[in-house]
Amino acid sequence: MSIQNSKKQKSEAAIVYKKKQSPARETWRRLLKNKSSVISLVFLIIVVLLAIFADVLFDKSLITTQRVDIRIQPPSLEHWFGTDVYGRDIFTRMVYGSRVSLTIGIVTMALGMLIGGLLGACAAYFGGMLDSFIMRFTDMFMAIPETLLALCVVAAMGASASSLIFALTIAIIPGNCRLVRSAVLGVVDTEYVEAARACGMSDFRIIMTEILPNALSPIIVVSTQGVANIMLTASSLSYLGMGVQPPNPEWGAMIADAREYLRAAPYMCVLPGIVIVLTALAFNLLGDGLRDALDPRLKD
Amino acid sequence: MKKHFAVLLCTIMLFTAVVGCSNNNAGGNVSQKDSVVVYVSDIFSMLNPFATTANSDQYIFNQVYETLAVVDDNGKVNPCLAESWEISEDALTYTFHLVEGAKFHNDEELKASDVVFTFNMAKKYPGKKNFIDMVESVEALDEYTVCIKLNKPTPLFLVYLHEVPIMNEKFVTEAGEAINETACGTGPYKLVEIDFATAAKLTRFDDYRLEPAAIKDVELRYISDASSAVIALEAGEVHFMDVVPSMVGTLLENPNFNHDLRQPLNTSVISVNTTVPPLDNKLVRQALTYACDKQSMIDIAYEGYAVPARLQANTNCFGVDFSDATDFSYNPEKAKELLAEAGYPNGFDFADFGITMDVLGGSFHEKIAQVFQQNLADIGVKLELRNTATPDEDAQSGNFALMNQGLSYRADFSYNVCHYGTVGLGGNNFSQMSDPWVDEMFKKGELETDPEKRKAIYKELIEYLVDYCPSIPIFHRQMIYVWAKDLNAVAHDSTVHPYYIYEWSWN
Repeated sequence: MSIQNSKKQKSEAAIVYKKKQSPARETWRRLLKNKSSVISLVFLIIVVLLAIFADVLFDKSLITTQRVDIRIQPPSLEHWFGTDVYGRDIFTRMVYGSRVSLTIGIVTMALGMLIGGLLGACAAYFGGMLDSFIMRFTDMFMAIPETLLALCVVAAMGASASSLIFALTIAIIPGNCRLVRSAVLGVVDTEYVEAARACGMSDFRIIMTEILPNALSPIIVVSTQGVANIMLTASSLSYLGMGVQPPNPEWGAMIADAREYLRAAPYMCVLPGIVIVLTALAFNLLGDGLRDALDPRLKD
Repeated sequence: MKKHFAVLLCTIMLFTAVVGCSNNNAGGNVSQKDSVVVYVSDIFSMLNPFATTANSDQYIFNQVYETLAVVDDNGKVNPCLAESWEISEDALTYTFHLVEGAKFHNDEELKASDVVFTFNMAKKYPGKKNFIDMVESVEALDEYTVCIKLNKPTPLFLVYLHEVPIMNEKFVTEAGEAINETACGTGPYKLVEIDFATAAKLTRFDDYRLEPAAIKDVELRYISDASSAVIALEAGEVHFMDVVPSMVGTLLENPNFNHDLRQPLNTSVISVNTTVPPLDNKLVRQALTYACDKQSMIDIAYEGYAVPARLQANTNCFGVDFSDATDFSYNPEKAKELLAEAGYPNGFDFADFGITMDVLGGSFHEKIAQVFQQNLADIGVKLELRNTATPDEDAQSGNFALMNQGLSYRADFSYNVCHYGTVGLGGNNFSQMSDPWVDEMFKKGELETDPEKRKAIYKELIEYLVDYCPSIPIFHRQMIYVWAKDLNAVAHDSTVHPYYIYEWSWN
């Protein structure tokens, strides 16, 4: 009897425990049910791991060493993606290029979200003149297409990875600012925020501990998908010669270099192109999965 | 339902792709015997021949305008609008006898006054300074005789005439500012219409002073992407093009096309500003020159269609003789020794001197720059590349340290005074070198009338210049022209005057 009781208690405890699962764990569990998200996640983890451990796995000198004798060779066991016009290994360059592309994508998104998010949150929380001022300011920037704005900034600052990050951050701040503002507007009048105010919490603390965590899900989704967008824009800018300067590899620049050889050696363009598409697709699918997982209405 | 719709969409996409990629020859052959489409690699900029230096504009001028004399591929000067000429003893006075009855496209007849007007007009534009600066005065002796006085003997004066298209005084005066958008010459073709961003259309001028042209209509068509241009050529939409080596592929073996490789008077160089440290040190410049693997540059940047250069002129030019000049062939060890001698035993980083190399992106020059970067890294010198859209302007103003570009030369070494002499400062003397001895030698060469003595002067000068390394010459490239099998086209060496459609016909 006592044994039965203790079993019952245990199972109740388990149920209680399950019910008390944190929102993050719950989201994670539901994300894992989405096949395309899982595949995307695995792909992205592989890409990130390759980028991190590139120095251990590959010979770094291969990305710059020019060898006339093995130039423009099709994919083989020795050179998985073939060699480029300078006789450099395309796969190694893709791996090292992913460092640049991923860094640009993630750092830009993080910076853009941080600055845009803070501005948006302040605008929504304080309202009034500050709101109008910030919103009209973002309107002004939103009137200029992102790529064009980034091009102008890079042209003024000179082409390099850091100016690309700066340019793209400036370009995405307005969109992020608007997004966070609308998300915050949804929670700023809730009772728990009122309660926090009544407790005498500082505005900063209320924004950081009460408002932002509750407005987080759209931010996470947009950030994930935004990384893909930024990587594509950065590749486009590099393709136009406004990005990372040679001989450092960057995905867009690699395609630009190979463009002339599209007919003679299509793999030089196509393989890097496929990797860019797959990475962008993976970020997008992951973002999709996260949106579904974070949506309370879709709870099973 | 959704699935069916997706299948339908995929089918439509595939169908569109297949139709889009199919090779449709019919379009190109419709009026082939009466017209020709020539590919142009750059947009047109303006139609005032003295205000533009763009090659694309020049291709129009070559068909629409004529000059007093023309130069053939052997460097020989032949009569054109001037049927004969006399040169005075002191080589300072030229008297030209014009052909009679040559008509402009506006029905006006060519008179000596048009020639006087043209030279006076050309003098107002800096773009033609090299070719016209030595002209002191131009005078019409009668309706068909012109006397041109020079302020110094100029061995290449008759050659330079090829760069001065004769304009019609009445037309230019009436056109005013509009001369930038229209053209009226005595050439075998007249301009019908031009869209500066896409194409220029020309048609046969029936009152041409010689036999009318064999082909009636001509379109000079700009295609922004070179690979699209090659596809257009293969599809028969374009009949003649200059192909960049990276795109040649199997075109030269293709029996549907004729081709010709020409050797233009052009050098691909890395221009060096000799006034900024550390490039003001001759030993550093020599080290950089030794470090250059020119053969790799030729293979990588120009697919082997070029020969290594030793100066901004080659032996196909009068007076160029390298027998006494230092051989700066690829030698990284020697380069390291020279760097050590210059005080940089471990190499250096150009960034410490605030120097990056300016590169015109997307061209073969960019590939040369990347190989150069690697060559320098091999001898311990670090160099960053920077994209620039205004290489020529930066170079002329001396607002650069290192950059690469293509520079033309002429059939006589005396022309190179604009590359190496003080007179070229602010113009084509990108190295900014100003050496009284070099100026003196160029002057001696110009004044000397005995060809053998001139050769000796230039030989001594070339020995000095090669050793001085005012720039790093990379290669003399070949131009690859490909055209339809049925077209009897002729291509020439000059990149400025590569073809005259008047010489062409269809089989």
